[in-house]
Amino acid sequence: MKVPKFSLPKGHLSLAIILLILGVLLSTSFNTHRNLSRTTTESRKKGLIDVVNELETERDDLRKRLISLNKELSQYEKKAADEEGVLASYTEELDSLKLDAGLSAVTGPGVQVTMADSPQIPIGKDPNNYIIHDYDLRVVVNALWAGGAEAITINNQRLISTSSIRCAGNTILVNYIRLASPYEIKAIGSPDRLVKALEQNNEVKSLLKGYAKAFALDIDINEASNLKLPGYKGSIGIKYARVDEGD
Amino acid sequence: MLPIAGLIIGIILGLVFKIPVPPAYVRYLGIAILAALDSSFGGLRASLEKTFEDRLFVTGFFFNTLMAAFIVYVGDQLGIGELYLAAVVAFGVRLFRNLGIIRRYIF
Repeated sequence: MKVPKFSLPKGHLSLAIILLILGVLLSTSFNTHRNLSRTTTESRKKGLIDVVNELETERDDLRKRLISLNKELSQYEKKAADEEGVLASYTEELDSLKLDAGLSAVTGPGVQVTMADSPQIPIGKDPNNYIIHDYDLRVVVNALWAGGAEAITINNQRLISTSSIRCAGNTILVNYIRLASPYEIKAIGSPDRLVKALEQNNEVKSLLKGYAKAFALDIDINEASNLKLPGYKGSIGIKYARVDEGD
Repeated sequence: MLPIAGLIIGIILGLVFKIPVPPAYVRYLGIAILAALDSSFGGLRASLEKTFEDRLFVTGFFFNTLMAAFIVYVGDQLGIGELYLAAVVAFGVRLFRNLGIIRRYIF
């Protein structure tokens, strides 16, 4: 009796060639899939998020260092002022310049404007309409400056001469710090004048009467008798601007 | 022994040379593998049944692979990505049938 054996009497060569091709295909596919899964958008996104988080912690550390160094510096200044009477006038001038530049913490009367996204976005509606945008903040801030505000903070970020208010994804950047709703704008100045400036500004009017009503944005304007505003904490880093000696 | 050596050499060649495949063609690679597997098992079965023919086997392999790729291509062009599934199912069914027959010969 002939039992079929597990052997390949015929076609050894052709089978070998085909299997060789199959082998190449298999390992190529294996490689490709390994590479693909390594570079999918998801994993790349995760890598980028990690980078952002890392850089943000680094930035926070540097900011902390800056604050402590500034503190040290002001201690030295104070010490110097105590030791030498000549320097006292300079220190005074420095203090007043710091006040002008928005580097020192200040207190005083003013107004507080709170702006918050709509608590819920109806399904099927454009969500962009229901949130506070960077331009909404700019409208309010500009009106406050126009009303004679002497110092303004948004969520405790002091606005100085180089500050910007801009949109970055679904957050707003002020002084390169990410802020999220609710936004609390505090401004020191004459409360009456500030409120009047807000009420008379056309853009603020359309924001309050139009958008805020239509899209349930939560915007509140309150006078305050004693606001506390922190100074600007970042670095200013003016690289290109020089004092014009002829002026 | 020779066919198994061929398979191993092929795998090593593929691993060594790392032929880059653009993501758009990964599906074609997949279907080509299925076709190659189908042909290989078909050949194994035929040789166990003593009906193996070189010419039939080699032409079958290339014809099946090319046709499978062509069907996938046509499906992509016409927006019928499901044509790919048709090829996968057809090859899959044949693969398992051949496997079953081979099993009966061996055990």
